[in-house]
Amino acid sequence: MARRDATGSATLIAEHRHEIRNLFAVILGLVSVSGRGRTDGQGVMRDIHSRVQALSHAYQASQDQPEAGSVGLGDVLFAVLAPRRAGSRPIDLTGAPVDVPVDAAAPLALIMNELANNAASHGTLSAPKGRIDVSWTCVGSEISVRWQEFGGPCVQSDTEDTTSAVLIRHAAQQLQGHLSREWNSAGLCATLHFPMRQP
Amino acid sequence: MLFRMLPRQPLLRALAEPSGSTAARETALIGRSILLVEDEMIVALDLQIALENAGAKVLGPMVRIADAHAAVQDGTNPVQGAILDVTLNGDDVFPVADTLFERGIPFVLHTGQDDAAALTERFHGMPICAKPCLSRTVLQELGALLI
Repeated sequence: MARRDATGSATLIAEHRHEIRNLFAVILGLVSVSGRGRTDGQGVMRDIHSRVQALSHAYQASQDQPEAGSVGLGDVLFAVLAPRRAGSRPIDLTGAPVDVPVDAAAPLALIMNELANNAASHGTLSAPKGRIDVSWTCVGSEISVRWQEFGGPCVQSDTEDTTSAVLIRHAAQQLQGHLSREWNSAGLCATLHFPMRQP
Repeated sequence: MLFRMLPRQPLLRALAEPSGSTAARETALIGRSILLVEDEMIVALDLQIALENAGAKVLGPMVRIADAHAAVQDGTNPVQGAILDVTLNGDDVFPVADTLFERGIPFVLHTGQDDAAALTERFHGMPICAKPCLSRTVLQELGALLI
């Protein structure tokens, strides 16, 4: 019995070490990805801060779940986006409860964070009366998350940070989905589609 | 507490410094088809961008053993080198590594586990990069095998 306990705790320690190493690897990768080709140190630092925070908020949301292995989609979105709401420029979240596998939390968080960063730098959060509605639906086996900006610039911005676009594309691929964007009369409308997988 | 939990790093670097000059190791990747197997998105993205910047053609990133295996078996685009995350969604990458090893295709093992000694024994001559490891270092190790 004692031996079995010792084996169990050795396994736990090994798993814990693996997780910590992976976490450091992710942070190292995030720093490299964020800084590559950039010369504006302050801007890079802001991007790294926001990306690490988004991952941290998503992690916290996944820890707060009653069931291991899954996380509420709305909980992840709220955790990442609530700190980005600023006074008169709100971000509203609407959708029925739906659970996603816990490994979807990080890519979801990164995508939402990049959209929020872009909105803050040249989208609706840069406008005095801008606001964002984020809503999601789950129809059949597909989840759609719709990001609609109001009161922001209505034309496609060509100042988009390429790192941001690359991060979004890869995060969406990780979810086996894709993000489409269009600019309607209200502003940017981005929709993320990805297949529902069992947590 | 965090740092007490961290394992000691094996002294692999001291044992096996990659061969060739830094410049030769970097240019060795130009035009090569490199299989990238890594399930951690950010780590994969960093390695993918680094490989592309070094002029390599990236196959992947693959997040499933079956996909990586299919890429190795696919004769239309022969794999010339690989970066393999040792643990992929809880499965180990050994079936893919074994096939590459049998065919003499060089690869770097990128591991977050305390398994360097076992890996060295099983895949003699293939470098091991313990995570966290800079993408530049991983590429240098791979480049040294392709000179």
